[in-house]
Amino acid sequence: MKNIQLHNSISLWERFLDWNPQLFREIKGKLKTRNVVIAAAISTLVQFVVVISLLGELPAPETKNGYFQSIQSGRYGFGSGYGDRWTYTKDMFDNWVINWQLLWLDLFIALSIISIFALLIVGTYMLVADTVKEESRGTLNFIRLTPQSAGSILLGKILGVPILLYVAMLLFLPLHFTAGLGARIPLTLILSFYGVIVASCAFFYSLALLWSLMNFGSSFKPWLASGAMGLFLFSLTTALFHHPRLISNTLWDWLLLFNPSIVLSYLIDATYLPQHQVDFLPVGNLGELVFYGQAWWTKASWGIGFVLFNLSLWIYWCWSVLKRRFHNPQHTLIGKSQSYWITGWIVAIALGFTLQNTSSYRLTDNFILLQFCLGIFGLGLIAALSPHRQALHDWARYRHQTSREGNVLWKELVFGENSPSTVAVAINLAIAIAYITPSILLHLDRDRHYTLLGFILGAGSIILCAIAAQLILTMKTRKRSALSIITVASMLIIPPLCLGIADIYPQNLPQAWLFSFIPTIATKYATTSAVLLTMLGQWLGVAVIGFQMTRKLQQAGASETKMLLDRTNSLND
Amino acid sequence: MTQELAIATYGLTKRFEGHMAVNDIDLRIKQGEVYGLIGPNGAGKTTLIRMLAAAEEPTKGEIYLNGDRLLRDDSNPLLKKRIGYLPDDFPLYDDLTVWDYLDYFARLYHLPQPARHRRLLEVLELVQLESKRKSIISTLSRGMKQRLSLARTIIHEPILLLLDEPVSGLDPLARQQFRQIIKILQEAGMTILISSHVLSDLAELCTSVGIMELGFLVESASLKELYRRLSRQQIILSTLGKMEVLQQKLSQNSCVETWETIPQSNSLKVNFTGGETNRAELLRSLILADIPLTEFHYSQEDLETIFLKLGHQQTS
Ligand SMILES: Nc1ncnc2c1ncn2[C@@H]1O[C@H](COP(=O)(O)OP(=O)(O)O)[C@@H](O)[C@H]1O
Ligand SMILES: [Mg+2]
Repeated sequence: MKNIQLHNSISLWERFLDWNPQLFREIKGKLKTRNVVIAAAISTLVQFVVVISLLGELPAPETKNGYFQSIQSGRYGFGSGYGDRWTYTKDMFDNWVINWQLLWLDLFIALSIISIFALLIVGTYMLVADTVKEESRGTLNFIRLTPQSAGSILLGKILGVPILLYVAMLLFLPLHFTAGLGARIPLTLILSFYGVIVASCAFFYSLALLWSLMNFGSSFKPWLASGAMGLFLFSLTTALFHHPRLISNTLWDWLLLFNPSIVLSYLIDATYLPQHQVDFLPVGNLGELVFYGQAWWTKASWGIGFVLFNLSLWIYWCWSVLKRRFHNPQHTLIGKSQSYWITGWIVAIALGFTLQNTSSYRLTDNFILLQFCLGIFGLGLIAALSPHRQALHDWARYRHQTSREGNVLWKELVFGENSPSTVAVAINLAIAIAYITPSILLHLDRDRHYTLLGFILGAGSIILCAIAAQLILTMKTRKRSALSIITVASMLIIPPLCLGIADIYPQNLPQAWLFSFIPTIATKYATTSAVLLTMLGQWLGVAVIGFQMTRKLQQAGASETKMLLDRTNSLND
Repeated sequence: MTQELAIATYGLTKRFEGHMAVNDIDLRIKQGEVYGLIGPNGAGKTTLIRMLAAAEEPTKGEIYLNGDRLLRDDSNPLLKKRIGYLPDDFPLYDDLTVWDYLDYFARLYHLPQPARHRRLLEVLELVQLESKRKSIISTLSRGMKQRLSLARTIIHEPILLLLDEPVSGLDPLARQQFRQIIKILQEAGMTILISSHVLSDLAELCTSVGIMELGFLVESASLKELYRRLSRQQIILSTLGKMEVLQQKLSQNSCVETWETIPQSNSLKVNFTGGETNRAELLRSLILADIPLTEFHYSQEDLETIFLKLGHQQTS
């Protein structure tokens, strides 16, 4: 009987390993007894330290013969006091009365925060370091050649590479779960909190894989990724604890939804412990967060639902980019048609968080912030969509022989692989502006014209950057990427910097500021003719650079053909 | 077409930064062949093989394996199962044992149990690593790692093997072992493309050779054809009688091109162009002419000489 059970469990384990070969490989490589023991020891030690430090707040045992006794106070007393100091009282049987529920809740929160930090920061580091190593050694190329799908390999990586971390976190689970129940948090909320943690891991791990599959650098990549992750988590989590008025009713609020800790607000609220004792972002405050005029976050179900929706949406797009990327590491980071979808979703959500105020004055500021973020996003798009010299030259030269789009130029520029990015960037910005415009016209009154003009001017300067960057990427120098980044950065940063140094403010000389990165701050003061002239200037610039690039590409194609013929002839002689 | 082509490429081209690594190559390899790809360093062999293995995206051109188009994405898992590719640097994982490493790749190629277990044993036996199955890979010698990589390459029973300079960097004994294994694989019916910058590595293995230079495939033919076309046949003749009689008789034969006397002996070296019947004809005519022959020895130039000759043709 026992034998059969043993056999069954072995074959179950076998079947689990059979399910994903990559997971099998990670388990075989990493799950060794020594490592598991170390992980378990660290996990236990951390739990022990946390419990001990919480128990330190309890009243000290009385000395037997001491008749003089000072009043004991601490976090878990029920007597009078304030902040973290409440006097401990005794019941009629001479036992200390202790706020056990608060103690359990503190334990729950501490373990939650520790595991979120550990999972996201350490997990990101492990994934990026592992993938970067495999990529630089060339072992990942073998896996690409097997009939496995990108999805199965990457899923195996996500499940397998941080497996020791998962072991350590699983050992947190019993105590964490008990603490949650002890704090009288409803079971469903605890489970949905686990769901949010899993979803955020899935999102950030996919992002980490994407980051490690990008074509630059290698040694600093894991550190940079986990450092950024740590900074993000640390700043947002401390803010959750110390700023009861955290919701700014601007686009920034969106960032909060990527931090799984925010869901703790609902869990704490469900314990009915007094707010001042816990000192975490109150649910009432979370209720001020508005999306398209609706306060979704007042109720736990909707709030957690939206957090999960937001994470799932970006997990989906991360995976769509990852799948493409895994098999074509030489291509641009994202495909052109993918970029339109991603822009659409980002703008749809960003606008939702922009429309959070009813007062026109603050709403205008929100739109300026949106325009600024759209600019940053536009720069990201340039980087993600622009093919490099070789790909561009090949495209220009072999377009007519290899194209699958049937040689229609506009189709290739809009959807094709390796074609110049400028048109696609312009379309992305057009999608964004087209979606934002109705809201500007509806919700702003006095400011609507100059805000709209600001958006259009901003888009113009991004397109100018895009085409300049693309032109530089076709040049022959070695440091093309660096050069194009420097050019774009100087096009954006130097003008406002000079203007700032020269004490020229948008109010005095708006024309100069129209060319800057956030033209919205200047359009207010500029005349319409100046704005139109600026626009004309931008498009002239785009046309000139575009013409220059077309010529260069044609030249490149022609000289390539000539070179080829020369070499063939010399070989045939 | 009596025999299907294992590999067919059309206008296959790869450019790196303004120079052509592989230039408009139309490669044809029949099934069951051992095709040796020879060329100096930098000729483009690695790039060509990488494209054939779908490890590199061609700039232009198409690749067909057994008539199916090879593309670089998720779309053709079956086609990928037919290819076994051994790159020149054969990277491995240091943290796995020999057995787990092979097991991992067998799983990646969807080999089900118990066939997987059987195949692993089979392959380990073939590459003579049975005794090392529990060892961590980082403890193996270079030759063992090379053989382990070969085992990984053939674990899924591919029908097309692409081996990039598999014997360079090995000592003579390891080379011999490796060649032995290749022969076994060929007998098992695999089509094998094997590259090297040294001809002698391949001479005794190949049935066809291709020669690459500066990205071009300047020669591609079966060994038989190469011999027929380029190797001169020679016949050594020795006589007890007068040389003049022999030479006179020879000049009447249309298949005899030139001859030279071998000094300090009554022998001649004849350059001969005909086939076997012509040779028999020549022998008969000499005997009928009552020439007292003591030797009639036929030989061919070896591959090394042919290759040198080819190289000479190319550079001039
Ligand atoms: N990734 C690459 N980037 C740029 N040039 C490359 C790359 N790979 C190969 N080359 C160039 O292509 C040419 C052919 O290289 P390769 O195919 O490795 O030749 P072989 O294997 O015959 O020695 C060489 O001149 C080499 O410098
Ligand atoms: Mg090579």
